[in-house]
Amino acid sequence: MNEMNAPAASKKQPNTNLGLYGGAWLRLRENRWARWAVWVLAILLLLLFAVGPLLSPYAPDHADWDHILVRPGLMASHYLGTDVIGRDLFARIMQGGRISLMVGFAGALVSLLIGVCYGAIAGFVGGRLDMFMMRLVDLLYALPFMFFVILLMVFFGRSFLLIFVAIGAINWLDMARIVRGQAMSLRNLAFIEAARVYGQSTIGILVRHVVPNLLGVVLVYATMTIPQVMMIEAFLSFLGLGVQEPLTSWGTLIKEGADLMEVAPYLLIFPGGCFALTVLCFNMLGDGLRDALDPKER
Amino acid sequence: MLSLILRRLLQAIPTLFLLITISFAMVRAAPGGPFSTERALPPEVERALQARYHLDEPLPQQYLRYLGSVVRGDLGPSFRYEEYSVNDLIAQGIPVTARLGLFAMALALLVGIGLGIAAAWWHHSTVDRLFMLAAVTGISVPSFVLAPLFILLFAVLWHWLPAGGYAPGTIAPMVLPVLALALPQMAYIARLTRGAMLEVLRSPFIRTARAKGLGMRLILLRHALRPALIPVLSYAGPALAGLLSGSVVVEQIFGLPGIGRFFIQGALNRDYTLVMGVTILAGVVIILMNLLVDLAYMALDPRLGARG
Repeated sequence: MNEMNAPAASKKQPNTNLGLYGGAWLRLRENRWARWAVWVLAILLLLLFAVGPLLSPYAPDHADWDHILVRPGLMASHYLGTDVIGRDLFARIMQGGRISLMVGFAGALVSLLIGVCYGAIAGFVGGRLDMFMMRLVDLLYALPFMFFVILLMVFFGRSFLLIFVAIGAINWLDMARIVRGQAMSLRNLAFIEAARVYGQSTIGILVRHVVPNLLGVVLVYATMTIPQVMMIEAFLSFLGLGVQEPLTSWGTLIKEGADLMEVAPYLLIFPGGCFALTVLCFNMLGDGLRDALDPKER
Repeated sequence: MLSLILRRLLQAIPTLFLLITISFAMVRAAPGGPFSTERALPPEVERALQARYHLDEPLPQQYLRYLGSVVRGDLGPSFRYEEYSVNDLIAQGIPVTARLGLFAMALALLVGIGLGIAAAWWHHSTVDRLFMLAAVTGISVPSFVLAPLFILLFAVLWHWLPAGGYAPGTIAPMVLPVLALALPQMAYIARLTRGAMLEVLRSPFIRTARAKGLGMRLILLRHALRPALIPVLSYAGPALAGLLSGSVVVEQIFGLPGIGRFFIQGALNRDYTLVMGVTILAGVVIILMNLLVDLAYMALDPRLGARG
């Protein structure tokens, strides 16, 4: 099958000497939306993790009782106003963003690790093991996971660790399926055969040859998983089950804003806007990466 | 066709079994019980209550008892709403949640597929770029941000639509919840449809149809749509699961008395049977939906039917 595909693929991409990832990099740089997304994300990360805390004189949990529900722009030091007990919204958005992003990265990492290992093993080993493993995935797909996660959060406290585990446990299924398909098509290629003839063990082949060749797919999918995980975290926080006081996350802030929006709509609009913008950028970057690695889609 | 349905229903049995087992295990492993939350009851009363709901039996026996009653279609009595069985409560909530979910799904599919087709046909045009920008924005703004924003705009500022006050048979209070639930899904479906449509439009049989001089509408609707709908359909199953969990939040925000509200209330009150009942219901809905999707596949792609 692959012998048939190879000439067609090289005809489409004249710059084959750059290698698969080199060509993809060029195509990604030509994508205007992806470029914008990268810039916005870079500025955002810089702001959240490096510059932001220096800009605001307030701690995120400091209650300024003399300045409750200050509207944005009214006071020079409360850039985005204050909430119902006088906490500075800017400082809280900074802290919430740090937590939302960290949850997003960590959750994506968990689901990536599980999904890649599972899918690579199933696809590469094949046969009965593959059938069994994929049956299990099908079975898990049919379960209403959000309901389980909500129960988990309600019953067992709302610890950070649990959020990662719960989200990672939901999200690895897609990854496993995608990686399995890729691994299956890799299995019969000549260079894998060569490695086997060389006497490399199955695990060695998996680690040294299969997984590196999956990197492109994994990268695309990871970029798409981060916003998904952030969504789940925000969803849980919105229900009051996610990140707890005194810490905050964008989901928690959106919840607080939604409760008070008739009095102070900015409490909803700023966190909601930041959240949507970040998710949007990740999605655009993911789209760009996918198009770059798989140009026929465009 | 019949054999497919039968096989799927057989496959659903282990799934349901797993579903019931996980829910039971999770609920029972939770600290705190349904009667231990508010105030301490006298020990005799508590013992009597536990005996009444068979909570004093060993866990395996409770599990088998629950399994048996679920098989008979009885989800047990609610621990908190003493007068009601879980079946009653679910029957109360279903009309609301079903209406919300079905309207949202229908809207998302109709508009999403339409936008996707338009974007694919005018590929690389301004229409395409505009729609896809809107779509990627749409999937980035979740229901729980949209819903409060809608309330703020349409209910608080402009007074166009009510933000709550659901009563059976009224339409106006459902408009905003349906929209909030449908928009993100609509955006996703539009992207999927466009991608699939582009793939199909590149295939030789479409080139032939164009060469024959068929009009645009004929090519799109008669030839290209059917194969292009397959990936959209396979998304419909997971999408419904998304709608179900999304409606948990949307019902909360708009104060709709649906299944999702019972679920959250039940979880907070440690109402074991209610929570398990709703979870099982959600699982059953997903299984049925996947079956429907498989049947629709066969209608769209006759080759699948021949293979059985």
